[in-house]
Amino acid sequence: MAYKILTVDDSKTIRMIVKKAFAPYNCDLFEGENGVEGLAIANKEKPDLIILDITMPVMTGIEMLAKLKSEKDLKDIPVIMLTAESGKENVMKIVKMGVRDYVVKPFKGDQLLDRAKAILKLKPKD
Amino acid sequence: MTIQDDETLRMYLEESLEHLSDIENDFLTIEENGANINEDLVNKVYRAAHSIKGGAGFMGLTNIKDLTHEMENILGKIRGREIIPTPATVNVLLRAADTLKLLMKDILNSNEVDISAHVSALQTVLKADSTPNKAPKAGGASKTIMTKAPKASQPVAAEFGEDDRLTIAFPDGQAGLTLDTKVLRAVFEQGKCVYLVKMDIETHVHAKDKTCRAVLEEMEQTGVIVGANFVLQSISDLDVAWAPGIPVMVFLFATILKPADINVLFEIEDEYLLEVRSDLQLYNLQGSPTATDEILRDPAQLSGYIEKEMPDLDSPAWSATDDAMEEQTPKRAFNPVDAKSTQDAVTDKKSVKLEHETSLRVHVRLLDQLMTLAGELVLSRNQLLQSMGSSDTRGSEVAGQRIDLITSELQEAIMLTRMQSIGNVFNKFPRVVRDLAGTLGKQVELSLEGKDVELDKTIIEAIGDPLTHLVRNAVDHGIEKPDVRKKSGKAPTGHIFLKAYHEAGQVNIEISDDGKGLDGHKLAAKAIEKGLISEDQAKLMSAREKNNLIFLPGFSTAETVTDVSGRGVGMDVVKTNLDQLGGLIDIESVTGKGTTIHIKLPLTLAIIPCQIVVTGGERYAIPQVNLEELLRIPAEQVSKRIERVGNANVVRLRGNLLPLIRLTDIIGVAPRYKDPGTGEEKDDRRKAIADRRSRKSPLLSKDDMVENPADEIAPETLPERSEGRRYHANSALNIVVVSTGDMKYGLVVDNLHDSEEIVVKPLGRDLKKCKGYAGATIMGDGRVALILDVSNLAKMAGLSSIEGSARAAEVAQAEHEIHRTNRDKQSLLVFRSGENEQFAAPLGLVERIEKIKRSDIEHVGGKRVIKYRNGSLPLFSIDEVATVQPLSDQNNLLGIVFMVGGREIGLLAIGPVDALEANLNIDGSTLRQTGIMGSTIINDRTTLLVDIVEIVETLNPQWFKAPEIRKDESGNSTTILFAEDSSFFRNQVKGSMEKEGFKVIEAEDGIIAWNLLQKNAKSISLVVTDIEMPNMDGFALTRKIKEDPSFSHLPIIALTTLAGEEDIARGRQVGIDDYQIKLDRERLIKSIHEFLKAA
Repeated sequence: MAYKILTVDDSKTIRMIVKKAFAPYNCDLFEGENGVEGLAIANKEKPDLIILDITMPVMTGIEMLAKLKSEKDLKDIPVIMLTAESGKENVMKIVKMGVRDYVVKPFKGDQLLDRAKAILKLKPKD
Repeated sequence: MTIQDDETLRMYLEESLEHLSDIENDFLTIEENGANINEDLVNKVYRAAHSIKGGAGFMGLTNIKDLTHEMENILGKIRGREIIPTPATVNVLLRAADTLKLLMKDILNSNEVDISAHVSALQTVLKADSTPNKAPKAGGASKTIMTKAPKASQPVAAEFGEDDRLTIAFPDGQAGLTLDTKVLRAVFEQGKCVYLVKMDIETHVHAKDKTCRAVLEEMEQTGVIVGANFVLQSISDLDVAWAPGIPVMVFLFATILKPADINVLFEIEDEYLLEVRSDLQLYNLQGSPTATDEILRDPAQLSGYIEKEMPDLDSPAWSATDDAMEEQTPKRAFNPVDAKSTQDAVTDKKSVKLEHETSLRVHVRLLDQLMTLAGELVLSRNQLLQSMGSSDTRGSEVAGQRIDLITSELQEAIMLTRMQSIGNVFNKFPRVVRDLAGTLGKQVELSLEGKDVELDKTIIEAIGDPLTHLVRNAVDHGIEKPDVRKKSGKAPTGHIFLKAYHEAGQVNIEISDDGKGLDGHKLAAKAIEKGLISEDQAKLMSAREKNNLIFLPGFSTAETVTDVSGRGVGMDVVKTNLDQLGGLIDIESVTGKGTTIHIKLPLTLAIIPCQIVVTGGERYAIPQVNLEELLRIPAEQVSKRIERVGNANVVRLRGNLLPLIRLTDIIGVAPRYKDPGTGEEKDDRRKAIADRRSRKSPLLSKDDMVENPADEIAPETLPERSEGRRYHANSALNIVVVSTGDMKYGLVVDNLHDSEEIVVKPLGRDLKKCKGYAGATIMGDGRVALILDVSNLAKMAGLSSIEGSARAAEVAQAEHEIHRTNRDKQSLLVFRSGENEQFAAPLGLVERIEKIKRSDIEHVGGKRVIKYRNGSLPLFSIDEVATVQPLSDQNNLLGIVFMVGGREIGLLAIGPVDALEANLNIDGSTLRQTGIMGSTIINDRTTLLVDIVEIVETLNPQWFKAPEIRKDESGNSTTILFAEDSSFFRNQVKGSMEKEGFKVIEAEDGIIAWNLLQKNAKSISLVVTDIEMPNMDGFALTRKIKEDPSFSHLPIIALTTLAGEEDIARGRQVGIDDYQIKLDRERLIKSIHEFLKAA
C-alpha cells in the first residue's frame, strides 16, 4: 500500500522540492498551503507522514501541530517539521510538542528523504 | 560527512590563527609558571589545540591534526601535572605551534609538508615524561568516586546483558559512563542523535538558576536519557583537570535535536557536549572527530584491560580509559579511514586559491552605529533630493550640512572598524625575544606598554616585519652577553622596552634597549669603507646623523653575519617599509648606555589630512604628516631671506638655512602666476629662482618699484619666485616647509589652499613610475589632484639625507662667511660710568648686574664694599684707575659683577645699560690706558672697552698670584704659538700670555702659523688659534696640525667670539681641544695651564 504523505507549506517551491524528493517512491503526496488546509486534509486522508512548515499564513505550523496533537485520531501521525535556522526557540518548542523529526531549512530533498526513511519504509515505485 | 567549502575552511583558518596567536604567549606564561600550573591557562591552550585539531580532522588536514593531537597530549599531561612545563618542553610546543602556523599559511598544501620531526619530538617529550609518572597517576585516578545513577537508566537498557557493555568517556578520560551497545543501536535506528553530555551542577545548573529536576524534565520532554552517571570528585585530587566544579552529571542523551540545536537545551560550553554517531565515534558539535577516536572501546578489549587494572569488573571502568588512551594515542594519530576520505577532499580543493584574512571582526555596537549613520545619510539624501527638486536653496544647504556631519561621523565609525590594537603585533615579541635570547645565550627581559593603542589594519599588518626586525636587532646587537654586561657594571639581564602611544594624531612606537648602543664612529667608518659616504661627509656629520647611517642601503653592522639579524633584511628595508606607510623612524643612541628607536606612524592610510597647494595651475596635496609649517615671505623680504649657496637656494628660517626646492622644477610643469593687476594667469618666465645674492639686484620695496618701473617687466630681475608680482601687496613667496625623516626642506609652490581630508587612491599602473607622487585623490569639484611624495621629491631634486648634511655643511660654511664679513662680532654690555662716556665690557665676563644705592656703600679699610649675599663685595670704579670722567654722583648705581681672580668684584656704573652684538673693530692704541684695553665705535659713539682684570690688578695686585713661570728642561719659557689676524686681539691675548711667563710666537693667519710651527717645531708646546682668519682658518690649521704625526700631540685652544654649539662640535671633529672666548683672559690662561700640566 502506498504511503500517504502530506506536505503543508505556503511556499510552492518547498512543496515542489518535497514532491520531487518523494517522486521515485511508492507514495501519494497531498499538499496544503497553510495550517487550516493541512488540518483539513489530515482529517480527511489520515496521512502516514506530515511534513510541516512553521511559518505560514492563516494558521502556523505550530498551531497546526498543537491541533494535531490534541486530536486523538491524528496525534500519532509522525510529523517532520521544517524550521528556519534562526528559530532555535521554535525547535525546542516543537521538539517538546512531540514532532518526530525536524529539518532545518534550507535542506536538500535527500536530507528530507533520509529522515522520512527512518520513519516509513519507503519503497521505490515499481 | 565533511562539509567542505571555502567558507568553512576560511572560518576554520581564521579561528585557528586566532587560537594560535594566543597560544604562543600562553605557552610562555606556562613556562614561566613552571610547576605551579595555572589550570585556566593550560585549559585554554588545551582547548585551543583541541579545537584546531577538531577542525583539522573535519577538513581533512591530516598534518595539522596530527600535530595538534600530539600537542594536545602533552598539554593534557601538563594539565594533569604529569609533565612539568620546562623550557625544553615548551620549546618543542612552541616549535610545533610555529609549524602549525606555517601549515595554516598554505593550508591547501599542508598535508604534503613533512612534519614527522615535530611529531616525533612531541612524542619524545610525551614518552620521556609520562613513563616514570605513570604509577602515581593510576593511583590518582582510582581515587575518583563514582556512582551510577540508577534513576536515570531507561527500561530499554535493562533488557541487555552485561556482555555488550561499552564505555563512553570524554576525550580527557574524565567523566564517562558505561552502557550497552544495543541501547545505542536501537536509538540510532530511530534516526535520533545521541549526545554525551557532561554537566557541572555548580556552573551549569545552579549558576543558571535551574534545578537538576528541571533539567531532567526538559531532557525527558525532548528526548530519551539513555544512560547517566553522577560523578563526585574530590577537590584535593590532583587529577581534577577540568573545571573543578563538583559534582558532575554525565548523560547519554538521545534526541531528534541536531548538533546545531542541542545546546539550546543544555546551554553549556561546546566542549561539554559530544555527539555519538552510529559508527560509535565521538564527534564534537561541529561534526569533527574528537581528540581521541578511541573513546568507544570494543567491549572485549576493554574488559580485558579492566581486568588487568581493576579487578572489579562490575565497577564502571571509564576511569581506566585514560591510561589506555595514553598508551594508544601516540601510535594512533588519526583514524585511517577518516584520513583517506579527507585526503580526497583536499585534493579536490587544491586548485581553489584561498585568501585568508579577508574578514574582520567588528563589534556589534559599532555595526549598529554604522547602520544608524547609514540610515541618517539616506534621510539626508532624501531631503537633499527633495530640496533640489523644488529649488529650495535653504533646504539644500541644511541637507548639505547634515550630510557633511554624517559623513564625518560615518568616516570615523568606519575607521574604527579597521582599527586593531597594536597588541596583535606586540604579542609575538615575548616569544621572539625569548627564543633569540636563548639562542644567543643572553638574558633579556621584555616590557610592553600601550598594547591597546589602535592602528589601521593595513598598518598593523605592515609594521609586523619591521618591528620584528628592530626587536631582533635589539636582542642580537643591542643587548650584550651577561658577562660583558657585568663587566661594564650593568645587571646581567638586559631590558628591552616596547612602548606605543598616541601623540598628535599619530602613533608613536619606541623600542629601547639598555645594551651597548651604537658607536657613531664605527658606523661612519663602516659607511666609508663600504663607499656609502665620503670621508669628508663623515667628518661633518653629527652623532645623530651617524647613527642614522644604519638606515643606508647596504649597511649591516654585525661584524659577523649571524643567522639572527643578518638575513639580508637590513635596516634600510625597515626604513623603506616604514616610509611606505608614511611613518618616520629615528635612532637615538648613547654608546654603552643603549639605543632608542622612535617610530611615528599615521593612524590610517586611507584618509589623510593634506595641505592643498597649487603649482602650474594644478592642485597637489601634501600629507599633513610631512608638513612642518607654511611660510609666506612678503615680496619685499624675499631678497633678504632667500639666499643662494652653491647652486641651491636656501631660506633663512629662524637662524637656520633651509634648502628650497621649486615644485615646478621637479615635476616639470611651467610655473604660472596670476597677474595681480588683471587677474589673468600667465606663464612665469623667470628662470632662476632668485638672484638675490647678486648684490646688484636692488632691494626691492614698494618705493623702489615706483622709482624703477623697469623692474616689473624684466623677469630676470624679479626677486624669487614670488608667484604674484612683488609690487603687489598680496604678492609673496609661498613655501611649504616639509620634513621627511631627518630631512627638512622648503617646497616652493605658486599658491596655498586649505587643508583638507582627502581619500587616497592609488595611482594607475601607467603612472606607477612617477616617483614624485604617492597617489591621487579626487577633489570636491571632481577633479583629480596628485598627492606629493615628499621624500621622493627630495631625492628627485638631489637632496638626500646624506647630501642633506653636506648641504648643511655648505650652509654652515655660508654662515661662517657671513661671520667673517661681520668680523669678530662680540656680545657686549654697554654702560656708563660718567654721564658722557660710554663703556663696554664683554658680556661673557659679566656674572650679574645688581642695583646698588650709593648710601649702602661702606668704606672699610680704604676700600669700598657692599653687603652682598652674606659677604662683602668689593667695589671699584673705572675712574680709580683710568683717566676718565668720575663716577656720576647719583644715588642709584649699578654694580656690574665680574669674576676676577677667582673672586667676585663689582664695577660701579650707571645706566643706561644695553647688551648688543657689535663688530669689534677695536682700536687698541689711541685710547689705550690702564684699565681700558681700547676703543671701538658702538651706535655711533666712541666706546671704551674696559679691561676689568687690569683694573682689579692695578688696585689689588696682591689678589693675583705671582705668575708661575713654566719652563722646559733647558730653562726656556714655555712657547705658545698664537695665530690671530686682528692685531688688537693679538696684542691683548699675547700680553696676557706673556704676563703669565709664556713665550709667544705670533702669526697673522693659519698659513703663517703653520710655517712658524714647522720652523720652531721643537720649542712650541701649545697652539692658540683664532677661528676666522684669512688664507687658512683655525679649523684648517687644526686639521693640518692634528694630521701631522709630529705635531698631533700639541694641544690646540681655539679662540672665538662665536662659541655656538655647532662650531664647538665642528671644532672637536677636526681636533680642537678647547674653546675659549677671546676676551676671557682668565679662563684662557687657566686652560693653557691645564693643558701644559697634562702634557
